[in-house]
Amino acid sequence: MVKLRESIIFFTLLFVAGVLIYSYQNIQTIKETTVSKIESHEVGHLESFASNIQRHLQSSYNIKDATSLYDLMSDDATRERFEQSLGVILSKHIIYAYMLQMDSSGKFRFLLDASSEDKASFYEKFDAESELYRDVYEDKKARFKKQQGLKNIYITYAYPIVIDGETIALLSFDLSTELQYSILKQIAPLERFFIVLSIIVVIFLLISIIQFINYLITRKRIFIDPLTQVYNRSYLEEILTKLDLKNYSLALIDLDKFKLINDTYGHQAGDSMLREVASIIKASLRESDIFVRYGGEEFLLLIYTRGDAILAEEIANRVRKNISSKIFHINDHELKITVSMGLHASPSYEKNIQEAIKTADIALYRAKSNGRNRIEIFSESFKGDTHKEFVLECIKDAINLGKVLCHYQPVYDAKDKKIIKYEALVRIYNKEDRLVMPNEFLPYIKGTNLYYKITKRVLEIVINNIKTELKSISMNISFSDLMDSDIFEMITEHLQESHLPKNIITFEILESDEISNTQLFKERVLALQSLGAKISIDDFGSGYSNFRLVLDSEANYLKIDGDLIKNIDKNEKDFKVVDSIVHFAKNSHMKTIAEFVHSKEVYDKLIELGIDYMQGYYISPPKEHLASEDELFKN
Amino acid sequence: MRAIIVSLLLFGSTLFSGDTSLYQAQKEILQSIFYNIHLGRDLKVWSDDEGLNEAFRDGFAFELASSCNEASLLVINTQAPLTNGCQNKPTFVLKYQLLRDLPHSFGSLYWKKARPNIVIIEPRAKEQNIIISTRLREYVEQKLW
Repeated sequence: MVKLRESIIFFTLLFVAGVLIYSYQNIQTIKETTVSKIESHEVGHLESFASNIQRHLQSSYNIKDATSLYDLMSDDATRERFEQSLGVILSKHIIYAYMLQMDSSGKFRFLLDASSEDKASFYEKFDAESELYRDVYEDKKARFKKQQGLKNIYITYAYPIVIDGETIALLSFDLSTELQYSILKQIAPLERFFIVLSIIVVIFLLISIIQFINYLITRKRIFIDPLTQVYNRSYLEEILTKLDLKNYSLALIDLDKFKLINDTYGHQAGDSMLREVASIIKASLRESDIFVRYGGEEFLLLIYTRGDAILAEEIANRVRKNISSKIFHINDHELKITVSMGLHASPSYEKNIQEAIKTADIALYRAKSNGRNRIEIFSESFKGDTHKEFVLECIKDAINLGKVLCHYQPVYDAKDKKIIKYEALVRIYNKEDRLVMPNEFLPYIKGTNLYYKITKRVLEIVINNIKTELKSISMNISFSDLMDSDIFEMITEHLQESHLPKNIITFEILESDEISNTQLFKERVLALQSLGAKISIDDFGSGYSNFRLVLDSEANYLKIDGDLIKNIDKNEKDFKVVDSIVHFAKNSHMKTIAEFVHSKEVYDKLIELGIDYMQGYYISPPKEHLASEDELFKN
Repeated sequence: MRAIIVSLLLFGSTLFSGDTSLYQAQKEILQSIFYNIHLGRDLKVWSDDEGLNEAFRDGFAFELASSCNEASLLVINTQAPLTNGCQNKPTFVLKYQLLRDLPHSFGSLYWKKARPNIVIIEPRAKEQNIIISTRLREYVEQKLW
C-alpha cells in the first residue's frame, strides 16, 4: 500500500528525470544552434565579400571567361593588387584567402593567394579539397565544409565566380579554429550553466533514488515480520485508513498448544514451525487476502469476500485443514499441530477494525474452549454475552498493562503466635482502576489462554515476592490447572529456574470432580513436592471431599472449607465435621488450616479444636504487602 | 594511387598529433611514391632530416644509405649545401621552394594551406632517367610554377 508521500516522491523522480533529459538535449541543441548561427554569420560575411570581388572583376575588367581571368591574373602587378584586396579580409579568424581555377585536366590551381606566409606561386597546383571545389564548380553554389584534423583550419568556404552561367574560378577562404574557440567561448557560460544544472539534477536524482531505496528497505523492515516473512501488526495499522472492511471477513488464528512445541523442542523448533505454518496459510490464501502475524502464535486474516460469509468460512476451513493435515519434521520428530480460529464474517458492522478484532477474539476463545482445532464464527448471539466480553477485555488490558497484582492474607499459628505463611490472592485493576476480585473474572476465562497467562503472571509475582521478602507464600491452583500440561509445565519451569528455598512456596489445590486421571494427579503433586513446593488441599470438607485422593496425594496441609468454619461457634454440626477433619488430618500427618476466621468466637472455637493454623479477617484481611505480627488482630 | 590518397589524408590528420606520427605519415607517403618511380638502379635512400630517418629506421620498404654519397635517392628538407658527390643525385624534397633551389630535385611532398600536396616535375625526372608510374599522373607537372 503506497502512501501519498511515496507517490509524490516517485512522480517527482519522474519529473526530475524528464527535466534532466530535456536539459541535456537543450545543452546540445542550444550549442549546435548557437554555433550554427555564428558560423552562418561569418559565412554570410564572406559571401558578401566574395560577391563584391566577383562584381568588381566583371564590371572593372570585363572578364568573360576563364581564359580572360587567367590572362588578367598572369600579370604580376594586377595579381598583386587583387591579392591586396583579397587580403583585406584576413584576420585571426580567416587565415587563408585564395582564388583557384580548374585547368583542363581537372586540377585546381592558384590564381591568387592573399596569404603572406605559405604563399602559393601563380598557377601552382593545389591537391586539397578537390571534391568540395568540384561540387562548387559544377552546381555554381557557394558551400562550406567543416574540417576535421586540419591544423588550425575549422571551416573552408568556397564561392564560385560565375560569368555567363559558367564557373570560371572560385574563391576559397579557410576559417581558423580560433573562430570555433571563440564561438565555444561565447556559449561556454551557457553550457556550464546547463552542466551545473544537470549535475545538480543528477545529485538530486541520486539522493532521491537512495532515499527511495532506503524507504523500501525500511518499509520492508517495518512492515514485514522477519521470522515468517508475512506482514506484521504495523502493516495492519498502516492500511487501516484505506481498508474497506465491507469487502473482507476477519479471522484470528491461534496455534493450539504451541507452547508445548516451544518447551519440548526448543524455540528454534517453534520458530521453524511458525515459519512453516505461515507458509501454509499463505499458500491457502489468494492474492486479494491480507495475512498478518498478529502476535506470538496468532495470525490475522482479512479474507476478501465482498460479503460472502460462506466463502470466508470455506477459506478459513481450508487454512485449518491444510495445517492440521501437515506433518512437520522437527528435530527428527514428526509432529502435527492444529489451529483454532475465530471468524467474524462481517467486521464492517463493528465500529472499527479494533472492535472487529476483539469480536473475532471472543470467537477464537470460544473455539479454544470448545476443544480447539475448530472455527467459531461470530454470531449475534455472542453479542448477548456483553458482560463476558467486557470481562475478557478487562483481563486482557490488565495483563497487557501490568495491572495484575496479589494481595496477601497471613496464615497464623495461634500456638506460637506467629505468621507461618501468606496466601496470595489475585486481583486486577480495571480501566477505571477499580480493584476487581477473582470471583468476578476467573469463571469467564477458565480453559482459555487468558487463564494460562494470568496464572503465569501470579506465579511470577509470588516468586518475586518470595525472593524479595524470603517469606513463605502460597498460591491457589485448581485440580484442572494441575492437569493442564501447559500450566503444569509453566509452573515446573518457573520453579526450576527460580531456585527458591525448599518448602517456601505452597500450592493450594482446590479439589473438584474434574479429576478423572487420579494417577496423573498424584504424580504431578509429587513432582511439585520434589521441586521443593508444599501442597495444600484447599476448601476441604465441602463439595467432593475425596478422602482417598487427599490421603494418596500426601499433601502437607489440609485447608478446611470456610463454610464449615464461619459459623462454627453457633453450629454444632459444623463443629463436629471440623472436629472429624482435624482428627483425620492429624492421623494423616497433615497440618490443618482454617479460613474465614472472622471473629474472636470462631477463633476460640478453633483453638479448642486444636486447629494448627488460621486465617481470616479477624486475624488480618488480605493486604497489598506481607503484614507483620504487629499488624494482626486490629479489626 | 588510393594508398597515396589515404596516406595524404592520414598525413593531414596527423599533422598536429605529434612529430613522431607526422614523420611516420611522411614515411608512408614517401614509400608509396617511391614504389611508383624507377631510377634504373636499386633505391637506396638518404635523408638530411633526422626525424624522418628515425621513422625510416623504424621500418622502411627501401634500403637506407648511411651517407648521401652511398644513396641513389636523396630526401631533402633543408637548404644546407650538399657535398659535391651528392649534388647531382635524384632528389625528392619536402618543401616546394626547394624544387627551385635544387635543380636535381624532381618531386616534392609538401604542405600548402595546412594540407599535404605532392608534385612531380616530369621533365626533371626524365632528365635523370627516372620513370614515373602512371599511377602518379595526377601529381605530375610539366614545369615548376
